[in-house]
Amino acid sequence: MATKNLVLLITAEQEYIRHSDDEKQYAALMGSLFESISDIYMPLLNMFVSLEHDNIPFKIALVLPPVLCTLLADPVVQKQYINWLDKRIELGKRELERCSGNPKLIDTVKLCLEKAQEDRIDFITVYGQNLLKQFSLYQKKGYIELLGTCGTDIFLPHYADMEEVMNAQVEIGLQSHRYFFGEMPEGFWLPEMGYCAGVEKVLRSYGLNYTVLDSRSLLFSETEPEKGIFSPARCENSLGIFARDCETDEELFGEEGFASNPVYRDQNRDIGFELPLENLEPYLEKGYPRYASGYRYWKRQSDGTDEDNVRFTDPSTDKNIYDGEQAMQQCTIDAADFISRKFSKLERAEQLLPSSQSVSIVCTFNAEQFKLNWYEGISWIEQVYRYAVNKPLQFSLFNNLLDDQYCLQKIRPYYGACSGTGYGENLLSSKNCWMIRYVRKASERMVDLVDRFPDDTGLKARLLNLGAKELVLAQASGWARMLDENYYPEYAEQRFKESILAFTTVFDSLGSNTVSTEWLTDLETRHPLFPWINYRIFSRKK
Amino acid sequence: MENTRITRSYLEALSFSDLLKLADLYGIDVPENLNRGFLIGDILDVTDEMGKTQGTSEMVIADNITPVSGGKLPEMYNTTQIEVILRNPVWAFVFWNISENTMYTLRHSGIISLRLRVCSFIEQKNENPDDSFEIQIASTDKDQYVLLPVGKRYIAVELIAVTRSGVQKLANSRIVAIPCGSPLLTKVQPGLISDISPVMELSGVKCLLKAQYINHRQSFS
Repeated sequence: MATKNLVLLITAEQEYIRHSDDEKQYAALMGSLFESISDIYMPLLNMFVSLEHDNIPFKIALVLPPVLCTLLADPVVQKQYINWLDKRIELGKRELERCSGNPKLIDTVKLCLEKAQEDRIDFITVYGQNLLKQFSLYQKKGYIELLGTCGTDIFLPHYADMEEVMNAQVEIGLQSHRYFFGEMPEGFWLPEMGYCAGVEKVLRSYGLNYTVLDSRSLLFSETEPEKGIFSPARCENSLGIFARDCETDEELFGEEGFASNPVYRDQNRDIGFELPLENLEPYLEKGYPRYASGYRYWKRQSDGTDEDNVRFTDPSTDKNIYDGEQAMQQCTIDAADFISRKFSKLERAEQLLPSSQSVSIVCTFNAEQFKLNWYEGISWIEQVYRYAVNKPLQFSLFNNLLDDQYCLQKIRPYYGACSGTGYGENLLSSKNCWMIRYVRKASERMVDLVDRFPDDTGLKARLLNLGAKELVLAQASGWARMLDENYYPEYAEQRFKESILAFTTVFDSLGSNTVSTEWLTDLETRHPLFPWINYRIFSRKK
Repeated sequence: MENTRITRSYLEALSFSDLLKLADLYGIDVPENLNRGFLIGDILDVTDEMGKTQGTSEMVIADNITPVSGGKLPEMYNTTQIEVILRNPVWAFVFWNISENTMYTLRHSGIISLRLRVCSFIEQKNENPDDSFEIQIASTDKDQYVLLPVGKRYIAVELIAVTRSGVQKLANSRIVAIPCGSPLLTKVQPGLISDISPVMELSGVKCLLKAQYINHRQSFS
C-alpha cells in the first residue's frame, strides 16, 4: 500500500512599497502589507502555536520572498504597522458607539475590534515584532519548509537569454534567505511559476534541489510523465520537479469554491469604502485615498435587493450580518470536504500506480487570494490539519518526497506559469509591454558595467550597488501586474520609471565620472533593502 | 584635521558637528536627517576615493544631479536593434529601436517601407532560414506581437528597410527556441482528444487541454 502524501504550500508576494515621508498619500498601498500581517502571517503563526500545543501533526511549505522579509524586519515598517493598528483600534471604539443601537451588529464590531487589539498584543508582546524569527523557529522544529525565491518577483522567461540576470536574481534570493533564516534553502520557488528551458541549469548551479511548477509544465512536456502529478519528476540535470494540483485553485476560489460560501465574510464590503468620511476620521482623512479599515460586518450572502445597498446607513437591516461562529463551523465542513476529495484522488492514483510506494498531491495557495477573497482561509487550513488526524494520509514537505531523486523519471518541462492563461501573458499585455524595452536595456547595461568596473571600490562601488538594487526592483513583475490589473497603475508606473531612471543616472554618472553624494545617499536611505548587495552578481560567467 | 589620517575609528570619535564640518571640507552634500552612520560612511568613501585615485582623477563630486532625460524615459534608445521575447509558446513580442543616424540615412536614401521578417530555422546553428514571412510596420511603430509559424523549432526576426536603392537589413534578433511540448497540444479541439492515460486524466490534463482550447483555439496546432 502506497503512502498518501499531501503537500501544502503557501506563497506570499509583496512589492517593495515603503514610504516614511508621505505615509498618508501611500496609506492604501502600505495598508495592503499591514492587512497581510494581520490576516495571513500572524494567523499562520498562531495556527502553528495552536496545532503544536494540541499535538496535531502538521507540515507546511512557505515562500516568504526577500522583499516581504525585508519589510517585516524593517523597524520603520514595524512602527507603521503598530500605528496602523492603533488607528484601527481607535476606529473600532468609535464604531462601537455608532452601532450601539444594533445589538446584533455590535457583536461583529466587537469581533473586529478585538481582532485588532489581539493583533497588537501578538505582534508586540508575543512575537516581539519579529515574525521572521518565529517562522525560522518552526522551520527548525521541522514543521515548516521555507523555499527560496528570487530577489524580486521577476518573471524569468522574459530573461531566458540573459543568464546573468537569472543568476543575479537567484543569488540575491539565496543571500536574502540565508540572511533572514540562517541557512540555504533546498527548494526554490520561481515567481509566477515562470519556467522556460534553461532555468533548471541556473537553479542547479546554485545547489538547489527542486522547484514547483504549474501542472501544465509537467503534463505538456514532450515526454509524458508516467506518474502524472502524483510523483515528482526530474530534469535532465536531476533538478526535482513537483507539479501543483491544477484543481485546488478552483476548489477554493472558483465560482462554487469553498470561499464563495455565503456564510463567509464579504471582503469587498468594508466601512472604509462605504461610510461617510466623518465616521472614519482620523483613520481616513479628507483628500486622501480611501482604503480598507478591516471593519467588515457582512457575510457574502447578498440577495441583490435594495436592502443590501442601504445596510450601512440603516443599521436595522441586520439580515446579512457576519456570524463568526457560523463561518468557523463552515470551515470545519469545508476542511473535511477538501480532505475527502484529496484522499479519494490519492486512492485512485494509488490504484493506477500499483508499483509506487508513495503518491502525492501538491496544493499551492496564494496568500493574496486568502487576504482578498477568503478571510477565514487560514482557519480553514487549521481545520484541514485537525480533520486529517487519524486519516490514512500524511502531510509532507517537499524534501521528504525526494529520497529516490536519481531514480525519478527524466522530463523536459514545458514553458509555463501560473498566471495569464498559463504562460504569464498578463505580464506582457498591451497595458504593460512598454516596460520590457527599458528593463531589458538596463539589464544589458548592468552586465556591461560589471565588465567595465570589475574591481572598483568606494563611491563607484556604491553607485554600482545602487544601480544593481534599482534594476532588481525594476525587474519585479508586480509593477507589470498592477498595470495589467489596474491596481494603482499610476503608482506602479511611477515606481518602475523611478527605478529605471535611477539606474540610468548611475549609468551616466559612471560614464561622466561625476556623482552627487547627496542623491546617492538619499536613494540608499529611501530603499534600504539588500544592504549586502554586490553589483558583481551580474557578472558574466567566464 | 588635514594632517590626521581619516579612519572609521577617528571619525566615530568626532562629534556630529565636527563630522559636518569635515563633510563640508570634502564637499559632501549632507541631506537633512542624515544619520551619523551614513555620514561617516560618506566621508570614508570620499577620502578613500581621493587617496586611491590621486593622480588618476576619478569621480567628481557634483553639488546635485540633473535627473536623466528630465525625469522621463526615452521614447527609444539611440541604437538600432531588435529583440524578441516569447509571450507564450505561440506568440512573440517583438520590439526595436532605430538610431537617429540610421533613420536619417534611410530618409535620405528614400525609404519606402519598414518590415519585420520572421525567419524560422531547423537548427539553432543554421545561418540561413528555411522559411520566412514579412510584416509591414509603420515608421512610428516600436513593437509588435507576432504569431509564430506552426511546427518550427527556432525563429529570429529581422528589421528590414525597403528603400529606393534596395532592401537593407537594419538589425536582427537572437535566435529564439520555440517551446516544444506534448503532441496532445496539437489536438486540443473537443472530440479530438484521445489516448490519454488514466493517470494523466486524473492529473487534470483534460481540464488543462480544455482551457488551452478556450484560450488559444488551434494556435498551438
